Amino acid sequence: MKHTASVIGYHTTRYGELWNKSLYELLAEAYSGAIADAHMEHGSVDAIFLGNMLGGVLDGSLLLEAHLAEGIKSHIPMYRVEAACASGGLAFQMATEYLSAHPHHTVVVVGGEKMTDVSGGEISRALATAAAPKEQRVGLTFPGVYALIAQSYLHAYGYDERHLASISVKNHAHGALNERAHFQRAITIDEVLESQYVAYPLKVLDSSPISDGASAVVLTGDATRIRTAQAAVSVLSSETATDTISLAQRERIDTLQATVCAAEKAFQTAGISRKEIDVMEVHDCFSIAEILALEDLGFWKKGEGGARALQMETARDVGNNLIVNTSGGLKAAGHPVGGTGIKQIGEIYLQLTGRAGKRQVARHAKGLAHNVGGSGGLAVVTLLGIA
Amino acid sequence: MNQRVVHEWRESQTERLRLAHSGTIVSWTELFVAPTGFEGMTPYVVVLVADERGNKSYGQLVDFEREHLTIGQPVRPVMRRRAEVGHEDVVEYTVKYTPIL
Repeated sequence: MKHTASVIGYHTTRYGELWNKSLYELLAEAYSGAIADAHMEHGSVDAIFLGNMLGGVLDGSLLLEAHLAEGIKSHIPMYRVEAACASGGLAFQMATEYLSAHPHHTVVVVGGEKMTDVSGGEISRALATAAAPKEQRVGLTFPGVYALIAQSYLHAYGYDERHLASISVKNHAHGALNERAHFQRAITIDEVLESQYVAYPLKVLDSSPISDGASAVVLTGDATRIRTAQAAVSVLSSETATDTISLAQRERIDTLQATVCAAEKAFQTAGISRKEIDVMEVHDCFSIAEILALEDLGFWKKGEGGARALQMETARDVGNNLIVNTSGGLKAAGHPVGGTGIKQIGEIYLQLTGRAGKRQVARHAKGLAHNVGGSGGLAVVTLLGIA
Repeated sequence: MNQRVVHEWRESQTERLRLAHSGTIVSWTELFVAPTGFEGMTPYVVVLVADERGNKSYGQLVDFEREHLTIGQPVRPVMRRRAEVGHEDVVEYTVKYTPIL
């Protein structure tokens, strides 16, 4: 798929502990905001793609399509997509496939999650449904699985916890500029290092939070809508790839092969080089994940990531060309798992159209969004550019 | 019959694990926040072990000193209690690992 679809609208709720709002209220708010941003009428949406992981696991609600249809009073086709933390990214990727079959349609991709209504133990158990049974059986959690990845990486390349902490410090500095972020405050390396361990060597401040929230984008193949849109960004490519659910079945554990494969396909389909990318949102569910993402996406050589993270090369205020996670990433912006992949695309949309406010980057012609499910069992890479 | 019991019986019928005599630690972590059933064991160490044939498996590490928490440490499998008392008060056992001294 090349230059056949464009993003023409975006809205996200605030991410955080939103106790006064249900999942369906959050989804409806994001949906309505996105079509308003695109200056569209509700009746001109042809289909909805819905990214959500835990509806059904936590609250026993399946057939989310009908819940949403009831909320927005619609009979249009809706498709619920589940790929753990990549549910939003995969919903977007599937929407681009849909538009290949219906090239003049306009769809909304909306994703969200309600995670703070249950105890820490319950949410850990729910999230662990996307881990391998053998990992669950020995008492591993998702932080535990990523901690195994981190230990392997730090040992192989001679890095330490400061290198990991640098990612959180950078993303909190970005999140402080995002009025929709879960955490809007800067933190220091020492604060990260002094925070409590969750799964050694990963600490609380190496980890993305449990958040409520929803995000939505309007995606269209309709040439007239694209031409008359207030702000349009072309989808250059959107590709996905998979891998084993268990780390133990992988040849090496310090790389996510699904990311490598999805990125290769995405750049090949788009016909652009990595040097053309100005701004990225990558999947930093834990600090180690952003280091691996920059390597696996092909921007940094294997093993360089720790040193380059410590230099904060991808921070907005350093002045380099490649800026990463201006939204604050999962770490500071928050991680309502079904919404994250769509917020990432929405953030790139805002950046490329010059509407990112205080966190706007200087160069903004092309961008990348990278969303991961589980410990790398699935990845989605989407490339966007100004038409 | 209780569906969970059926599920566990089916797994016991289909899962065959040929344990190696020894292996080495590929990676390790110490868990401070545990999932349901493991809360009483924190902190506990989980290792990813590669055996002589290159197969990798997970297990908790037991009977160790801090100096053994290193990648490349040789370990051997042992049978130990899995977590807290399981379904219908059955004490479940599983494979864990201990350092080869």
